Amino acid sequence: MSRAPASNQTSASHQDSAGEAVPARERGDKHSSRRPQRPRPAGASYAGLLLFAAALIAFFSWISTSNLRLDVGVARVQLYPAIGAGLVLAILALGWRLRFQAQVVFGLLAVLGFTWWAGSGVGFTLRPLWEDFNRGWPVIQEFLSPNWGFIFRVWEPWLVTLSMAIMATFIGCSIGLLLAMFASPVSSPNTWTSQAVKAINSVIRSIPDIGYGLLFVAMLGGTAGGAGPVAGVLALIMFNIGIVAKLTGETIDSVDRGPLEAADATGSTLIQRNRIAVLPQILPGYSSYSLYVFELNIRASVVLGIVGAGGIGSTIFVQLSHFNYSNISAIMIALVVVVLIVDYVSLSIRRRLT
Amino acid sequence: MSDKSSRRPGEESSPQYQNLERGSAGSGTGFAPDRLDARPVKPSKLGYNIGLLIAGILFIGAVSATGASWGRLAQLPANMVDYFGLMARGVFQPLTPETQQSWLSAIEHMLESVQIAWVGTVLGALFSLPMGFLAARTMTPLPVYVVVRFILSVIRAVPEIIFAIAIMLPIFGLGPLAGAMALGVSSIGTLSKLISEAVESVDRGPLESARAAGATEVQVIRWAVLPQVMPEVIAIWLYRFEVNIRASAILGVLGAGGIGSLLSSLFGARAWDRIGITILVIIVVTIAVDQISAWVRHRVIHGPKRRGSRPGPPGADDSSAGHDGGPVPSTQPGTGAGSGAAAGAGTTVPGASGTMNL
Repeated sequence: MSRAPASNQTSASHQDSAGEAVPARERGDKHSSRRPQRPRPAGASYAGLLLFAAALIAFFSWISTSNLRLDVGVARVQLYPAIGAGLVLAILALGWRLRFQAQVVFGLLAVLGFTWWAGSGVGFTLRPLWEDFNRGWPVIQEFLSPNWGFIFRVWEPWLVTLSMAIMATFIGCSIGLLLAMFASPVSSPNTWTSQAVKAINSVIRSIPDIGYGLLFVAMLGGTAGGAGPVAGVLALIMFNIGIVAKLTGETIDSVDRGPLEAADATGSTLIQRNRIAVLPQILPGYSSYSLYVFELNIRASVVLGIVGAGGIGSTIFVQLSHFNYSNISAIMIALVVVVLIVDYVSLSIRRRLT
Repeated sequence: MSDKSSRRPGEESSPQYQNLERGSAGSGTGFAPDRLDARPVKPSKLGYNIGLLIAGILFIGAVSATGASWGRLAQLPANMVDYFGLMARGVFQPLTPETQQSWLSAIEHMLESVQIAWVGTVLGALFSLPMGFLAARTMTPLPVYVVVRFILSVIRAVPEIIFAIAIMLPIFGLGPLAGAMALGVSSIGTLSKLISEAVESVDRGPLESARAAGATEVQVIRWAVLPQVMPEVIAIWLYRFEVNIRASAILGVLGAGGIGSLLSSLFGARAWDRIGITILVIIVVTIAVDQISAWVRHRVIHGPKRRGSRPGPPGADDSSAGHDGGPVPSTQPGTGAGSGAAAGAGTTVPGASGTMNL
């Protein structure tokens, strides 16, 4: 800790010396013993950046909904866009001073603009942290005093959750392996199949698990009809197919080509080739993806329960609607413990596999 | 798998080898087949079979333990055809002001999800860089390292819906801000873990030369470590953004805004035509964001020179990113768990192609 201020000072003085070096360079003193400087970025690209910055500032004042104004002598400007404009100019100045390439500064400005848009979209403010903290405090307090007795009363939904996770892992990973085989150009019959299956995979992957949960619960009926776990398992399967197909597909893309050539040279069919040359290579990776997916499933089944797909999530949802936060707290402590145990077990299995 | 390596060619116990040796002893001169001429012994499959057996028992046990009415599966295909028909009709119906409204609201909510995810990612990113350095064994003294690692693993073990229900929704109220906050906090865990591993695996050369030139710790970080890890760190942040988009849908169902809120209200009303529209919007926007982020990641890691020559689809691109991002591959699975339930939802795990030895 005591070192930090000192190092700040040194870095500051270091900056100054860098600044002094510039005139020496401009004098054309090429053979001076000063350390070499980065070349100045092209002025033209920075002029382009100025245009982009102006557009950003206009965008800030366009999306601003607040009426807070700031008096700056001549006129009253909107407060938040003014702050944004200040940040934009600061980035530009810093980029010029530190001789960033124009592309880097462009990236920084784009990130700032996107963040500004997103922040105003969600109404970002930290004010509730000190203003409304009292409103949230009773709930948090209830969470801090969990109802320990409740943990063991709900072992049955836990069993359902674990079973759902196991089933979905088995089925989802098998289908995922098949799709990955078809999706990778290395192991699929032809490019057309590979492209088509890849497209299907990315569509499957793009729907969040909660979407699948809602879909299957709506199609089959939820916990009330006893079909909750069925819908949950189906949703988890779709969710797993997406992940496993993606990860395994990438592993297949990067297998060693030697065995493939050997298999081809001995005249093996596609299936034989995939069985003998591809599968053994991807098996360690594939097994650890499957274990990873199993961990994800336990967490995901909590979420799925909230939309009516059975398991411990349904219990959480019931307690949530009764505002029994101390019961939820107990379940969540158990959840964290289960997740840690599963993490640990699968970590040790994975260590053995690889 | 371990069986293959457990039997070495030189082992005396194998009956084939003993026969050969006896034979060679009898023949005396001339060609004597030795161990190297023997066919390799087929490795035992006992462990493999036992594994299969256990898996089968587990599976059957799981099927029976759910106690669900599996008979319902029989009506699934018919239902699916019906409902997908309804959804498709919703998507392809002519644009009236009313349907236009449902398209607009779907897009609006999806954009809100993207905003939630981005704010969460930025919050996580701001904290994760310093935390990542503090959690890197090569950068910090042992006590700091142990404490920070412990905090990070607690954050990773808690799913984000717990942050949302227990802390953020009570304080920030129902709305997108609570979701963004929950995502931000839960992002810190995974991001810092990945970043710390990137920091730990930097090339030591620049560090040594910076120290030799008399650099302070801060200067070493600024000039020797950051330039090495920054591309990887940005790739990690982008990956987390993709994960957060999917996770924000979950929080939406709890009332934290975004596409999840819309979806759950639509399913509540069973408005299948609007569900179809919404799902289509989700698919298109998610894939678009994935593509953009894959492009940026590729650009950041490989630099601008190869911009024009991207070989093939993003899948290959991501895997190459993984190779370059040396340390990232080995980290994901253990930590990714921290990304919470849906989180992993099949987004690109950076360096998925690597081995996963943790």
